[in-house]
Amino acid sequence: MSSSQTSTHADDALVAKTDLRPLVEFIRQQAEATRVVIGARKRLSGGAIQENWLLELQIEGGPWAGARRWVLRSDALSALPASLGREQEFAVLQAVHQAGVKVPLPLWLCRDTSIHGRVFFLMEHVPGVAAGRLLSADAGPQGQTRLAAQLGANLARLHQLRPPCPALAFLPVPQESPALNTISAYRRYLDTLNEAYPVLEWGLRWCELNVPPSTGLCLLHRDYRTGNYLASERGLEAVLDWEFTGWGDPCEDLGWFTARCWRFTRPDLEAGGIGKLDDFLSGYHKVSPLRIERSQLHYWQVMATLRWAVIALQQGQRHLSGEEPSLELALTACLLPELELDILELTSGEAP
Amino acid sequence: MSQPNAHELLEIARQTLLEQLLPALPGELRYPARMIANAMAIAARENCLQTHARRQELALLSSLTGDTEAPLHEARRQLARDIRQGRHDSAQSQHSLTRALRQIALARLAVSNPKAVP
Repeated sequence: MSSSQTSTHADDALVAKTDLRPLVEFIRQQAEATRVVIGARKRLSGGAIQENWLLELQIEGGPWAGARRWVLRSDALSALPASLGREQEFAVLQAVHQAGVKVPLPLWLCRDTSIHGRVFFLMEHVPGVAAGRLLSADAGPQGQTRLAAQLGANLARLHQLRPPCPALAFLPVPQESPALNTISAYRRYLDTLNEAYPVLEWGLRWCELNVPPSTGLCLLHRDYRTGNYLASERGLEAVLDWEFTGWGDPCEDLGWFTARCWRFTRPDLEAGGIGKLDDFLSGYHKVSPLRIERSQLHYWQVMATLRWAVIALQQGQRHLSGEEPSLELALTACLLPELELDILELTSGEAP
Repeated sequence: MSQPNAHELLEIARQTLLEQLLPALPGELRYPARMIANAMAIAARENCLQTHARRQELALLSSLTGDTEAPLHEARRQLARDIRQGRHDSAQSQHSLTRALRQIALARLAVSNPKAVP
């Protein structure tokens, strides 16, 4: 889960040792250039899961000649079980870009690990602010009407992609109801842990008892929330982090975007802490023929909070297992009580 | 007591970090420094509050499972099993379940992030 695309890591010890010549040659060939110079590169955070590097390039000759700012995105050392590899993420980026979703332009995939040590792809760098705290703190009393509507419309464009889709054949199509599928997956995960989590069990049972009729399958981002897109004074610039994409119920993405746990400093602004739900939904409905009502979101907000709780546990485990010792991962696990309270609050009243 | 306990040591270490080190740190190290301060505050609160919180949790869980002998981790496991098997589905049972779980979660929130306690 990323928090910001803009800050740099202090630990660049590895950089000095890296031989950049194979990478420069790869870019030169792909860009049909006569010469490529890497002026600067810095590591972008945005990545407990992958590594992102900003490359400032000077390209001579070919269609990309000039000064270019591109992002190199590669696999990190350890990954969350549910996340896609870079090759698959690149295919997703191409498909959604063609569908008109605002994303950084995908450039080239490199499967040859002799170039950079791991599989990576290059995409255009998009300027803007991603940090959820900054965006929600600047949202103003009524929220950002235009940004909320753009985020809704953009999500609806993504949801127009329906299975089957040959370019995305690697994404499994759920056979049973996506909600029941998710509930069993989370239960299987909880069963692998040493400790039991009664609140999460209760949330899952509640979801099992209240499964809504399915709205059909479409392509989901599965991490569509404030913190994972770039915005500027012009509004939405690009949606990032496509590694959790899969087929599912469109309401799942809307529940995730609007869940309380992703509203940062503005819990009153239901649309991701940056806007009003009505503005977001009206943007969605301008593009999508699906009518999604406010009442349908409640169920998927419970599911969203359960999912974030499961991810927080997984992040804590990555730290505890010694796989990737990290204070940030350890602190993520400490979010659990807040998420548990949200789950209890959402499920204590009458069923929706 | 003439010697500082774990809580007091963590508190003064955290205060030193925030007041003396943090202002002297370059920008990119401030976020990690704040995370360290946060982790120390959580550890200090856990040290103070955990014994009572665990006792309260055990009492609440055994009132739900009906087993007063089981240790805490076993009581959690038993309740989780009961919930999954649908033994708390009735409206009455849901009510007492969510009320007890809320009390337990609030006690843990008082350790992890007291500012978020409603």
